[in-house]
Amino acid sequence: MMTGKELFVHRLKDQLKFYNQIYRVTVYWAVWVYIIIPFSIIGLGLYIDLWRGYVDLGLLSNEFTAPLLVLIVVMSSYSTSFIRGADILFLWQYQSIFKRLNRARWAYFVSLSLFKTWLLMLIIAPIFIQYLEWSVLNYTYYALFASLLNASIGIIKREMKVRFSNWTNRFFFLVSSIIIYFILTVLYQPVLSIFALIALIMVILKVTKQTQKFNQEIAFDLERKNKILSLILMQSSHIGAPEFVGERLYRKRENPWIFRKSRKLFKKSTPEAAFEELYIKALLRNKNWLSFYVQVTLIGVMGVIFVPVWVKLILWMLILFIIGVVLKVFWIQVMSNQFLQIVQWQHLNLSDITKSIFQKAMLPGAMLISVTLGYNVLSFLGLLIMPVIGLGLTFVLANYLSRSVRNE
Amino acid sequence: MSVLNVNIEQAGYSEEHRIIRDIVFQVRKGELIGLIGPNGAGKSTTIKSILGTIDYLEGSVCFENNQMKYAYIPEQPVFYEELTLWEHIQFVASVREWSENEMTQRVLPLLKTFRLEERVHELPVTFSKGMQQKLMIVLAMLNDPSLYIIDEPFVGLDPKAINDFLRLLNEKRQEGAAVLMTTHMLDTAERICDRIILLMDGEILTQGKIDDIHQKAGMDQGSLFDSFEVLMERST
Repeated sequence: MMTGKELFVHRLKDQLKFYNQIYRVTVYWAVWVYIIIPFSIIGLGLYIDLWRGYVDLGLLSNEFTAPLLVLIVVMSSYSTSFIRGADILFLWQYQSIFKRLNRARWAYFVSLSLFKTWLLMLIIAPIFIQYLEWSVLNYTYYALFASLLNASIGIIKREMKVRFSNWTNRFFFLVSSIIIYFILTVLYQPVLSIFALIALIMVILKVTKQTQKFNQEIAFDLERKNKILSLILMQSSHIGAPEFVGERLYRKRENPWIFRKSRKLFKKSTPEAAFEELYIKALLRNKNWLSFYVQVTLIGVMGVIFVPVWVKLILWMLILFIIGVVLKVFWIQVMSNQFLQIVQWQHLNLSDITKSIFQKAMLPGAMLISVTLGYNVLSFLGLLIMPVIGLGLTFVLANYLSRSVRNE
Repeated sequence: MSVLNVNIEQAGYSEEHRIIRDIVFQVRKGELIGLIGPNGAGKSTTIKSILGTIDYLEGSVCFENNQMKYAYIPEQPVFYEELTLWEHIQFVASVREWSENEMTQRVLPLLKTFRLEERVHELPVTFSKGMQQKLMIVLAMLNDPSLYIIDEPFVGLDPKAINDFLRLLNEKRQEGAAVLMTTHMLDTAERICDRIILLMDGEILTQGKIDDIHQKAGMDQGSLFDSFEVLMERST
């Protein structure tokens, strides 16, 4: 008969195999070439600069903001049981394997959690050591405390979620976040941290004495697995997979979230206004494309803040161009809808329409990045200069991209 | 006077992948023509050839005065998932440069007929298949074309909606519009069509008035379905 540990290892292998399959289906080589490798190189450069004390962000950090990063990591830890529906009958028949199964999954979670926390503590180490001037020994002790905290909170969160009501769980989460933040900042002392860990272990022992609900465990694991899967698949539609792959499975809404009463954006009734309105509304109401637009813009904003000065300008132009290309791809998708075949429309000069559409749609993202770049490089003077240059560049790019759209 | 002249030598997805050949027919003003045939006979390819959405076409498709003023009602309703029913109507109205008043005057009776007036600000993606089909009909009727090209119009429609649709089509025909319709509902086709074009294996097997079809099948009595079966058997 299979032991608790064997069952856990078996299910863990299944889970890793599943994620490996998803990875192979969704992550295309182009993602490595255009996203992962370039961002890793930029990230490595940023990390080296962080150690050298050249990054502005480090100057923003202090004894109150830096522990927030640690708090976020600690509170986001999550333990999984990997048990499936088919195992319930087996577990009910052989309840003796419960303890061994739980110990195996906790051991796995704790070791994984310790590894992840140490990796993160290594990444944010320069903020504490270089900018906050902590000693290496003090920081090592702090990192050890944070990793143990992460492992304990992960287990408690899981057990609370499975064994108690949602509200008890949320209340615990809120209160423990506040307490842990205070321990990590103002109250941080070695003796206090030992007491905090002992208290957490006692909570774990108390919570785990409650009856184990395997059906709840399976439901939560499935819910989390679906969330991760939909997150991956939502991105996959941007890299070539069919759009329905990224669509969420829940019921579609009856009314749109914006312009609920079908309000017209343009007063005039012209074909140009019709296509502009169609494009803008379709973009604003399409979750996948809108979130992609926002993601690219935010990456641009973060990029121009963090990268070295000489890269900022290149990145600014590159992101503006990427926004333009994203909007052009969406235009092609809008125009390929079969709805446009149901009647023969009069001949229109689509190049003029697309130019106006691309200008309008690029503006919010382009302005946000330009303002950030301007302030970051030239302070308040930059707020006056860069948006104007950004506007000019947006118009040039919109013109270029609209000319490349086939006039059909 | 013909609204549409079809003279397709051959058409398909590529020169190597030809699906239909020797499709020749005319659609005259006020006429209702039924394009019928078994699955894979070439009905949809014929429609795509007329709409100009097929990749390979040898031959000609000529509209009245060389103006392609048609409305197409597809078998599977097509619309923008992000636009409400009213916004679809607004889009058509803006492209046609109609004023708000003109649009309202045209659309309100149609929305009332198909009982859609309560749902104008909803997204059609949440509608049932029948409701979506009604939206397609409303948009087609709104355009006042000289030719209606309709692919399997009755799928998903309730009996009242079918009657209302046929009544509206009759009104449009009396005003001079022509209708080209594909359908599998042979009893309805027999009742409403002026002429029938029977397709088989990508070719026209026969065409003419209902009586002509019966005559060609050698059946003085019986339904279109019986004649259809006889003619198909004879060809195979």
